[in-house]
Amino acid sequence: MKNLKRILSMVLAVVMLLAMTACGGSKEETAQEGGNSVVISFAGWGSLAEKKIFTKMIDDFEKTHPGVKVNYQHVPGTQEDYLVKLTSLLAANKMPDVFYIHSDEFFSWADADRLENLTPYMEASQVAANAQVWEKSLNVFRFDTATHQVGQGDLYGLPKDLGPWAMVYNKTLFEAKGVALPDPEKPMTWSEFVEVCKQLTDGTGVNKVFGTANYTLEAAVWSNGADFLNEDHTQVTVDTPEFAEAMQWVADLALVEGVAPTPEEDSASGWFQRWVNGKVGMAWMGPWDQATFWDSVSFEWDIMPTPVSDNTGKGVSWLASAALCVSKTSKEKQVAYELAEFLSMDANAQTYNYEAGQAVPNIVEMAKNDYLNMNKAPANKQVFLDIIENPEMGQFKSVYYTKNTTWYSYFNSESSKVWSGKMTAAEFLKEIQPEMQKRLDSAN
Amino acid sequence: MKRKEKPSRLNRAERRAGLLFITPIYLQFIIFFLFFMGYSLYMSLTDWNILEGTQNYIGFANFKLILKDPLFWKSMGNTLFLMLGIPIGMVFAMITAIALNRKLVGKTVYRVILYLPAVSSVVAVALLWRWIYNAEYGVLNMLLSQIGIEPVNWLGDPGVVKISLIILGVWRGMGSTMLLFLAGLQNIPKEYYEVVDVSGGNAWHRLRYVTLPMMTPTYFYVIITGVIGGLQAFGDQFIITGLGPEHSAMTVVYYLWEKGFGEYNMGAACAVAWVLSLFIFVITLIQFKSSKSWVYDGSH
Repeated sequence: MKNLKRILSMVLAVVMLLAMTACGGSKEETAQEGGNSVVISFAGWGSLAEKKIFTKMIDDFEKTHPGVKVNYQHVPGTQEDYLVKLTSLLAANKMPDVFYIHSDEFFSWADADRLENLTPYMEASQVAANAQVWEKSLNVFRFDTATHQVGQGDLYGLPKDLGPWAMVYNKTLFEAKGVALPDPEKPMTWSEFVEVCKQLTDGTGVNKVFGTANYTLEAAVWSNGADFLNEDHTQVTVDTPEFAEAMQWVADLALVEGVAPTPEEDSASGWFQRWVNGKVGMAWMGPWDQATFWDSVSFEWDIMPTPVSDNTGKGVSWLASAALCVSKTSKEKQVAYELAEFLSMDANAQTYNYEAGQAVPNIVEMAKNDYLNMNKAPANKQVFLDIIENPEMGQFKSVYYTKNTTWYSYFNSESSKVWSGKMTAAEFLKEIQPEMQKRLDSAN
Repeated sequence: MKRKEKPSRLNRAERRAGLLFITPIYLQFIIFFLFFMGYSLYMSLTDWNILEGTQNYIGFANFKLILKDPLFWKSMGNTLFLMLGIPIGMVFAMITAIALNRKLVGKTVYRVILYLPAVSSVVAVALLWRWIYNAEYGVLNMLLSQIGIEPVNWLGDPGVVKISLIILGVWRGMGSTMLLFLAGLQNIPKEYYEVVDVSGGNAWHRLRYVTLPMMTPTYFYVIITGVIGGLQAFGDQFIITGLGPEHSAMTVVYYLWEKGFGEYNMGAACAVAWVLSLFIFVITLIQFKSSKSWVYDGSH
C-alpha cells in the first residue's frame, strides 16, 4: 500500500507539471466571458505620443458604445517588430479583432485572405455615408480577389491616415545664413537645390551643418521620370539612364558636393537627430512628425514643394498609409468594424488626431479647412495636401503593388555600394537588376 | 544464474519508481523536442506560408531554393568569418587565466570584472557597444584619435562590420572561457610541474610540456561549444547592425529569420534550420573524431 501511495503521488506530480506547462496564455479567453459586455482587441504600433492619442480615442469609443470594451495592445518598437508580433499572433490563432496593416504589407495580407471584406459593413453604415474621406485613402485598401490586384475591388481596410512625405526646411537657419526662403508654391529645380544646399553647408566634424540629409531616393527617381517597376509591376526597371542619373545625383549630394552626410557620418548620428538639433537645412518629414517637432525643435520650420528634376520639371514624393483592418476570424466583426470606422472617420477622433500633431485628417473638408488653417507649424500645409491629392506630386511606393517586398529590401541593403561611392549608380543598377527581378518573380 | 531472470519484488518496485522519476524529462523531451523536430523536418518539405496558411508537400524545393540563393551562401560565409573570434578569444582567455592563477593582489576582483560581460543582458551589452562603435561620438574612435589613428566606421563599412562584431564577441565570451580555463588549470596535478622542476626545466618548459597539453580537454570543450554557438549567431547582429550594409552582417540564423518572418516562408525557414543543424552535426562529428589525436584523456 505504501508503494501505491508513493506511485500515486508521483503520478500526481507529473500531471501537475504537465498542467502547468499547458495552461500558459489563455488569459484573453477568460476575460471575454465576464458579463454580457463585448470585448474586442486592437493592435497597433507607433510612438508613445500615438499610443496616448489612441488610448484617448478608444476611451471615446467606449463611451459612445456602452457595453463594449477595447483591449488596446500597443506594440513598442518599429513596424517590423509589430509585424513579427502580428504574425506570431496569427500563427497562434489569436488575431486581434482590429489591427494596423501598413500599405506596403497590405497586398500580402489581403491576398492571404486574412482580412474581412469591409464593403458590406460600410454600405450599411450611416457614419461612413456622412463622412467624406479622401477617395485615394480608401482606394489604397481595395483588393480585387479575382485579379489579385491592389487599388481596385472591395475594401479590406479603412485608412488610419494618409501620410505624405514632404520636404521640410529650417527657417531659422535660412535666415541666419541670409539665404532666400524657398518659395511656398514654385518648387526649386535640382540645380537650384544644390546651390542652396552649398550656401547652407558650413563647418566641419561634429558641428558641421549640412544643406540636406537623407534625400529620399523615390523622390529623385520619380521626379526624373524613372521608376522601380514597369506599369503592371512585373518588371524591374532600375537599369534605365534616368534611374541611374537620379540615384547618382542623390549619392553625389554627399560624395561630390559634400552638402549631405555620408553613410559614415549618418551612421554616427542619424539625419533625424541632426535635423532636430538644427544641423540640417532641408530634410523630410511626415505629418506624424509634427508633434515631435512642436515639442523638441527650437527653431522655426516649414514644408516646401518637392524639388523638381531639371530634365522633367516634375517633383514627386511618396505617400503611405496604414489600414485599420478587421480580422477574418474575429467573433465580433460588426463591433470591430465600428471601432475601425470610428478611428478612421469619427469627426471628434479625427480632430483630436490632427490637433495632437499626428496626421492630416482623413475627412476632406476638415483637412481643407480646420487643419489647413490651424495656427501651428507647418505654415504651408498645402504641400501635404498636394502630395495627397495630386498624382503628379505624390504616389505610393512600388512595394505597395507587389505581394512580396524582398526585391526592395534586397535593393536597399545592397545600395550602400552607391552611397559609399564604391560603385557608380549605373554600374550598380545594371548589376542588381537581374537579382531584383529574380526575387520579384519568385514572390508572385 | 537464476538470479538475473527473476528480480525480487523490491527490485521491481525500485525499477518502477526509477522509471517514474525519469518520466517527466522523457515526456518533455518527446513532446517539446522530438515532436517539434519531426514537425519542422516535415514542414521543411512543404510550402508552409505562415500568412497564407498553406502547407502543401513540395519535396526538396525549399532546400533547392536556399542552396541556390547567393544570399544564403553569403550569410554562411559571414557566419564562418565571425567564428574567427573563437581562437582569438581562447588565446586571450588563456593568457588571463594563467595570470589570474598566480598569487596576485585583487585576484577575485579581476575575475569578477572579467566575468561581468557573461552575466550581463545581451541586449544591454549590444546597445552599449553600438555607442562605443559610433563613428562620430563613439569612445573607441575618440581613444584611437588620441594616438593619431583616423576614425573608423565600425558599423557602417561592410569591410569592418564583421571585425567589430568579432571584437564584441571576444569581449563577451572571454569571461566564461577564462573561468573554464581557470578550472582546468587548477585540475593539473602539482606533481607534473615538480617533475619539470626536478628535470631542470624553466617556466617555458612548464607551460609548453605540462600546462598547454594538460588543458586540451578544456580546449576541446570550448571549441565544440564555441563552434555550435558561433554557427547560431544572431542576437548581436539583430540588435547592433541589422543586415548591415550589403548584407555584410547577415548570419545563417538571420537569413532564417528573414525567410520566416520577413517573407512568411516558414517552410524555407525550416529548411534553413535543417541545413544548419546538419552542418553543425557534421562539424561536431569531425571535431570529435579528430579529437582522439590531440585531446589528452588521461590514458597515457
